[in-house]
Parts: sequence; structure tokens; C-alpha cells
Amino acid sequence: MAECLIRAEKVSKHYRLGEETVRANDEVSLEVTAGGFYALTGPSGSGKTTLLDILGCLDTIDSGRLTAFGRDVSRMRESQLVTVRRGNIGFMFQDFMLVDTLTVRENVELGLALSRSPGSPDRVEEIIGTVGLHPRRGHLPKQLSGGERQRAALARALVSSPRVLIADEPTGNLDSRNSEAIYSLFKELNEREGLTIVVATHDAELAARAGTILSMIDGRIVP
Amino acid sequence: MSLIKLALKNLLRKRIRTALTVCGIAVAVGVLVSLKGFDVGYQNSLQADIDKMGYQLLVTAKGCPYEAATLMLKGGGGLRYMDEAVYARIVSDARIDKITPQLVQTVFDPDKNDGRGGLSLFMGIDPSYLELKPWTHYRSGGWFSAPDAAEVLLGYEAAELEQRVVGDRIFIPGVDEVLTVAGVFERTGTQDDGILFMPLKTVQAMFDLDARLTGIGIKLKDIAQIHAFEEDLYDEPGIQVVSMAQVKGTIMNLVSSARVMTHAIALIAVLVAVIGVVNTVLMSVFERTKEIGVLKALGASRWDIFRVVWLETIVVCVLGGAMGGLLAILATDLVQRAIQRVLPYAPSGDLVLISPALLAAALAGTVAMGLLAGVYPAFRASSTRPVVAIRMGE
Repeated sequence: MAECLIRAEKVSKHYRLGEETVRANDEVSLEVTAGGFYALTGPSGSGKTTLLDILGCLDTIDSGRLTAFGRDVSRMRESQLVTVRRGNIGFMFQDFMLVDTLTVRENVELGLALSRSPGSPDRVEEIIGTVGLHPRRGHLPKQLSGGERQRAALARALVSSPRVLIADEPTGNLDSRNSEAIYSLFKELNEREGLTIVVATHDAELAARAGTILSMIDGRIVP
Repeated sequence: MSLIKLALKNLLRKRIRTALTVCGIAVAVGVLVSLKGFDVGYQNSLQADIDKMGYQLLVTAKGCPYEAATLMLKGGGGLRYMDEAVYARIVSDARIDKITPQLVQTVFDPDKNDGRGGLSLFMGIDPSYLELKPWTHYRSGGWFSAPDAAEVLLGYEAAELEQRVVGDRIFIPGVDEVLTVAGVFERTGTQDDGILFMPLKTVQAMFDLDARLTGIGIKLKDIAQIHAFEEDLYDEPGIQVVSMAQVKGTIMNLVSSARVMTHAIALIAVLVAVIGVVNTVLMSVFERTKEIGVLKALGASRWDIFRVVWLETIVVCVLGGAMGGLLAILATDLVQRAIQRVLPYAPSGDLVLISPALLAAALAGTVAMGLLAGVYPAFRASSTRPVVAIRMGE
């Protein structure tokens, strides 16, 4: 039986939009187990990103219970949530979000420094090599292609050896060739290194590579 | 990858904006340092000028005592004269250590200042003048050959300006007299450097001021007797006694209103610069909201973000402060010349004195300015919730 890393029990998140209350997540229950590869799919506005933010301990919940890495994080404040994220969760975003004044290597080093994880220059070099950016490690983000930027973002997310990778539309801004490179990296990391991956995507091909596909509609996971 | 490196690299994102902000601080700090330097330099120079006059009291003809003292110090028209008999009456007072009679006269010289014309200051003296100024030495030549000789002793700068050496002849415009240079003094760093000295009797004869004086300088044996001495001379008709301490106080009062005004302007400039820094850093924070969110997602604490933004502000301020100090040093001559034109009396010596201590204080001030100016932008940045920052605009 695989270890449960993150458990959501009837988790809800609501937003006020003028007079209206939007139920972004409505009593969602989910278990993210070690070594799993989960794809959240669904139309825009179905609540995928909100669920990712909650699972990634970036956002708080309004009701329900959320447990991450053995700690009840349901009522934690941001100053506490950051300690849960450090070293446990890595993030990737659709628009890469690299620090554009730093080189690839410096971006990855920053990821390591902020996570407070023990690491060495060798670890930085190793992860840059894993994503195939060794020859480009001294380049700034603006000198890289979209695919290279996303691989740099992946290296930054993984340098602290997190237990879970949370990726929000990681291929959303990539062409098919670069998307394929990301699919392959995810698959390899999941199968060879046992990295747990939760990805929100509109990309059917990426979703198809996941072990578990979770479809969302109107803030709920549907069978 | 340290947070310090991240902060420094952030400043290079918008180089022109950062440079303009640094320049704004540099100008404000430069003005403030120059003004503070002027405060110290002017007082020191004035004190040195007064000390090097060699006497504590000046007896002049009745009139505005401070105007008379200022005119004695720097020359100019409108001098009042008193009878030489006053000197004869007080010279034997037992309380006097040294006493010297003076007759100052100014003449417009059309050849001065590259043909634009200017005043030449002549002073009639007798040997007692040098007894009051033991630091005055001859560079060449020596004292006049006779008490009424048609000779002149040149102050160091006067000799340089006139390009004259001992034995040369010098034409005195206005009175159409030609005098022989008897000697040239070494530099004293006082107004004496620019004066042409003549025997007292020669000046009296040349300008038709027989038995007239413009002032009598007095040094007492005991400085504590000044007040009593002044009181005793109160009944002497047609004269007044001015202490050099009063002269200093009055001249400082004359410039103090200008000082208050300029200091206020400089402080406003500093305040505007601080607001500029806050604005620049806030803009930078707003532009980087998403990035700050990502840094937090990656594990940055509130304090990490606060430190980065605070450090950026401090670096901008310190750079501005250092540049401002440099600017003040480089502009010292320019400021000095400008001040000399504007002030009623500009003493000789360095009017703007920028010391290492002043520069250190300015730099410490800019660090404090950075610490203060950075608090709000750093607080705003560090308070951003990561999820709100990352999803901003989506």
C-alpha cells in the first residue's frame, strides 16, 4: 500500500464575485499517494487550478480537512504552510515564471536556497543535466526557447528533491515537440525515480500518460 | 544563490529607472553635504580671518560698526575716517599689549579681472602692524626704506596678480602715482594676501587724508578687560569700538537666514528623493508580484522577501549617497565661487570644508534613509499571499 502524501476530505473553496459566490472546489475528496501520477482535467473554470493550489499548500480551504505529509494543514496560516511546502512540493507553471535576471543555473540555485534543502553545486549540475540544459546553464531565460524555459522551471522545481511535483498546464505554452519532451521527462521521473506528480492540463496527450485521470466539472471531481 | 545577489540583479532590471533614482538621491545628498560643508568651512574661515587680524578690538569712526569692520576686512567704498589724534590718546593705555593704526583705501583698477575692472585694496600701515601678525614673513625684500617712502609691500596673491617682484614699479590708478615694490609677503591664507601695503604717511599723502585713519587695531594684555576697555572709550567723541567676536557674530547672523533657507530647500530635496525611492521600489514590487509569489511558493519566507526588497532600497540609497558625496567634493570649487559672489562677506580660505566625518555622516544618513524608505515596499511585498500573486491577472 503506497503512502498517502496529501489527503483532501470534503475540501471546499469559495470565492465572492460581486453578489455571487463561486464554488471553485465543492467538497472535493482526493488522496495523492507516493509514486502516483495524477492528471486533473476539465474545462476552464472547473476548479483544477484551485485544487492544485490547495494540494500544493499555496491556498487555504474554507471547509473540509486537508492533510499533507502527515500534518493537518486545514487551518494553517501562510507562515506555517511555507514550512510544509519546503522540500516537499515543487511547482511548475504554464508561463514558466523564471526569474528573468538570473541564468538557468542561478534560477535552479535559488530554488535550492529558498527550499532550505541540503544540496550542493553537484546537485544543481545534476538536475540541470537531467532536464538536458547543461549547455544552456549560463543563459538567461530570454535567451531560451519556450521548451528550454519549461525544462529550466522543472529543474528549479526538482532541485530540492520534493516528494510531489505540482504542475499547472506545463505544456500550455509549448509546441508539440517541446510538449513531448516534457511528457517524457515526467514519465521518466515518475517511473524511474518514483516522483509523485499532480498535473492540471487541457492536453489530452499529457493526461493520457498519467496513471490516474481526475475529471473536474463545476468544482467537483466526477467519475 | 544568495538573496543579496538576487536583490542586486533586481536593480539591473530597469537600469535607467534605477540610475535616475540614484541620481535623484545623489543630487539631494550632494546639496546637503555642500551646505553642511559650507557651515563648517565658513565659520572656520571667518574665525581664521579674525584670528589672523591679530587684534581683538577695532576702533573705527562712528557709523555702522559692522559695516566698518566688514569693509576693513574685505575693502570697498564708503569708509569713514577718524582723527589720528585718537590713536595718540589711547596708545599709552597700560592695558594695551599691541596697537596699530590703519588707513584703508580702495581704488578702481580698470585693468583688473581681465579688463573688466575691480577694486584694489591699499592699506597704510606702520611697523606695529607686523608686530600684531608675527606669522607674516617676507618672501622677498623687506620693510619700507622710510616712513613716507613711495614704496609698496605686496601680499602674496597681489604680487602674483600684478606679476611684480621686488624692485619693480607699480602704477596706482586714480591717483596716477608710481611706487616701487619694496617687498613681497609669504602666503598667510588671509585677506592680507590680496592687499597692497604702503607706509601710513604715504597713503595719507597720496589720497589727501592727512592725519586720518580708518581704524586702530588693539590687542589687550588681558582679554578679560575687553568690556572695561570698551566702556572707557565710550566717551571718546567720533569713534566706536567693535570687538572681533561681535563682528564674527554679526557676519554669521547675516548669513544665517540664507543658511536656514538653503537648508530647508536641501531637506525638501532629500524628502522628494526619499519619496522617489519609495515610488521606484513600489513600482518594482508591483511589477514583480507574480515572481514574488513564485519565490514564496518555492519556500521563501516573509522575511526573505522583506530582506530582498529592503536591501534593494538600501543599495539604491547608499549608491546615491556615495555619488552625492563625490558630487559635493567635485563641485566644491564651483560652490565656493558661487557663495563668494552672493555673500556680503566671504572670508579667505576654504569656504566649503567637506571632511571625511561629514562624508561618513552623509553615508550613514543615506543608509538610514534606505532603511526607512524600504520598510513600506518591503512590507507590501512580503505580505503578498503567494496564491494571489501567482494567479494575478489570470
